[in-house]
Amino acid sequence: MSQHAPHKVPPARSFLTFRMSRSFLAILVLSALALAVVSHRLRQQNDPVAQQDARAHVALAAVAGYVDNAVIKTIEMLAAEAEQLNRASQNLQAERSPAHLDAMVSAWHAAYGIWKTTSPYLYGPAAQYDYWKRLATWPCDKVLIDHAILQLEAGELAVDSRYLREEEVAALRGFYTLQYLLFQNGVPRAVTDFTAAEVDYMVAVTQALFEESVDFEATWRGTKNLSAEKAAVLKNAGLKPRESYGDAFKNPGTPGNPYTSLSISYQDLFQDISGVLSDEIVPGVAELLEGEDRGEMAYWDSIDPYADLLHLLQGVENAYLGGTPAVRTLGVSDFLAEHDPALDRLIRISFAHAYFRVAALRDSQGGTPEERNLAARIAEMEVEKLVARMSVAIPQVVLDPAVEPYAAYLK
Amino acid sequence: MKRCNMNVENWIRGGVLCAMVALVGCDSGPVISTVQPTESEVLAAWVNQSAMPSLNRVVATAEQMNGAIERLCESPTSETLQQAQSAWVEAYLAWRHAEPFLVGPAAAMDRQIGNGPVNRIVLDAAVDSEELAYMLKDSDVRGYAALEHLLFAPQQVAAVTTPGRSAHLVDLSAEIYTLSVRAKEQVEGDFYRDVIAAGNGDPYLVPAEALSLVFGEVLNVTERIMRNRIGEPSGYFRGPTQPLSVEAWESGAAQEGLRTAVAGLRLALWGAGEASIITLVATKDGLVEASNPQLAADLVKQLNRIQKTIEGLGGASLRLEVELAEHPNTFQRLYKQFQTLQNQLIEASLVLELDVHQGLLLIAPDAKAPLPK
Repeated sequence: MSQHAPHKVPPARSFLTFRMSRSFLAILVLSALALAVVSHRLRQQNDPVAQQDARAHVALAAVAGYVDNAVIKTIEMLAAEAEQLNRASQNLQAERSPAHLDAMVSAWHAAYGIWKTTSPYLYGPAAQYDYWKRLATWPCDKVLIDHAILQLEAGELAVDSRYLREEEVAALRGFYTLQYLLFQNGVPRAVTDFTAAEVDYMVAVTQALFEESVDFEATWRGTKNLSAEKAAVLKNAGLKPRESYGDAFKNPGTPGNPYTSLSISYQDLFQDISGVLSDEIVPGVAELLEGEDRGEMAYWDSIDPYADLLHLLQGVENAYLGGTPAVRTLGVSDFLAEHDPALDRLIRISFAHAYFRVAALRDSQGGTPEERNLAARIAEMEVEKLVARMSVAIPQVVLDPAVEPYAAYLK
Repeated sequence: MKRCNMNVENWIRGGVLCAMVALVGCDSGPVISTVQPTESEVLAAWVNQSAMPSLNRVVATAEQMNGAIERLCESPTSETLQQAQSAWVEAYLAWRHAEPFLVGPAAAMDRQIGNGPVNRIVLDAAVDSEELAYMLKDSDVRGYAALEHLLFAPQQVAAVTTPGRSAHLVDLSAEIYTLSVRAKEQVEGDFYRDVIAAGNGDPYLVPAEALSLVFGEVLNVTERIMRNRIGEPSGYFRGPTQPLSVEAWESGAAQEGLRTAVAGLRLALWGAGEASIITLVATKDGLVEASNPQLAADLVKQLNRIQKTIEGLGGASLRLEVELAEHPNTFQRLYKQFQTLQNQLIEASLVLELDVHQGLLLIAPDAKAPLPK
């Protein structure tokens, strides 16, 4: 008999009792899960309904991005720059020094530049409440402004922001009134040329500009969503509270909402993008060279037409990309990319090229007429190309089934 | 047992490593210059090193073909027939090779003589009938394809050179030669000069405008190969395979035609080495898009892949129409390879920030017109 304990024969290992079985099972389960997830994703990718739902989700987020990060953010910046301009005018009022005048001129340029970038948003509240007139009537009424300042000087008229806002004639205030008073022949006037009444008048104009910029912001954001400081500005100015137009725009289809569908929101959005491109930027580039050839000052009496065009382009690009360069989430660009990523890239490329070529045209000043002509033609070609590409994008976006109905139904 | 497992494991590891080394060794990728050429340099190289020599060859081979066909019709023997047939093959291959360069004024020539497939029924009937002779002016009985049918379809030299066929043979070969010469004169007159000088505003405002034209034609050729030369015969889109719609099957030059067409595409994209479109893709940063060396390498690899597939087509007899009937999948695989190439080319056009969309150009007003004074 052997002293050794009988050799224990291990029980036959079934597949499940194998030492590796637990980890193997875990791998098996995880693999099955992964397979299920992948096949679900694949089914979704091939399912037209799921695809449309996904696009509708992007379309909604893109409109929200447009309202929050492009429209409201830009108007908020406008209000901030208008406040700076108002402060600069008050400093000039306190002390008429060259430094304070320089600061006010710089503040005017900054605020006016932002105003130009709001161009794609001058529909809806801007049209309903005439912000484009109230903030920037062009041309301003130079005769009436001179007359008002003379009356102010003579003590026959008291001009403050409320007077300017409530006066029916918007041509007495706004950016072009300030331009008329600050510049002469395209360059800033000497500080010694300003009368006290002119500076007082500018303080009132900038105050009105600030208040109405905040009012403009309130129409998109809603007065209840403004900061306490801005709400106080409106209250002190005697301006009425506003409902949020942005809420209606980005939540179409709700009861009483004029925006019956996302398509209607996109149609409004594109209408002004197209308008700015076709009616302002394209003729603006053409007029630049024509004006120079005639020996006239640049188009539309502009102080810096190149900066104006670049700001307009920036505004349209912000509207398309869904935000200012500092704040961008989702925009029309992302929704278009769902359909046609190549076209979206071409549009982004076009923005960059148009911007680059307008800047190159500005930098070619001092070149020969032939060089200037070539630079102008190239800039014109690039903006035309941008217009053409944007035209192709519009139907793809507004006629996508994910944003229907395309037109309001009859009642 | 453990040692045994270790050995097996080591073998597996070693095997995997060897396979990886082998793969890396086999596919080290093309060597693409890292020196960025200008767009103008690429255009100059395209004209001088690729387009001009290609068109010269089209003209020279068309002239030889024209002479050979005249000789055949004057003295119809099996020898002159063979010479005419060889001359046709040479001229046809030269034209296929030059297709990516037939832009500007040369595009009109391509439209007139490059039509296919030939309408064999009408052609056979019309060459021997005075009543139907007017149909010989139609585009589907003209060009290289019609010449091929006239030269290669009949078995006997006498059948090739009946009075009606001879007259049409001479007419077609003379037309191809005349149009080739005219196209050469036109492109050498203004077009090539304008392309090289692109950016001076006369008429190309920026070099990218001319480069877009060149690049667009590469895409057009790719599309034609896919749609007409592979898609239709292989039944890729719908219906059964159509072996007799394989281009140049009657002459037995179908495989060589495809091979030459890809060689032409390669020349257009990478012909001039350092100053080429592919080098631009690898090295040039745009205002928005970054250079893409990987895409440039992928383009070259895809051309190689396509070339390899074409080399394997046709079996020992190199008769594509026979293989297509027996193995349609090979042709369909080739179609997919071209599709991949086309997608890569579209991506490359974006990387280079070019405008290759004819539709978009049509929408835009004529930006070349000078501003009103």
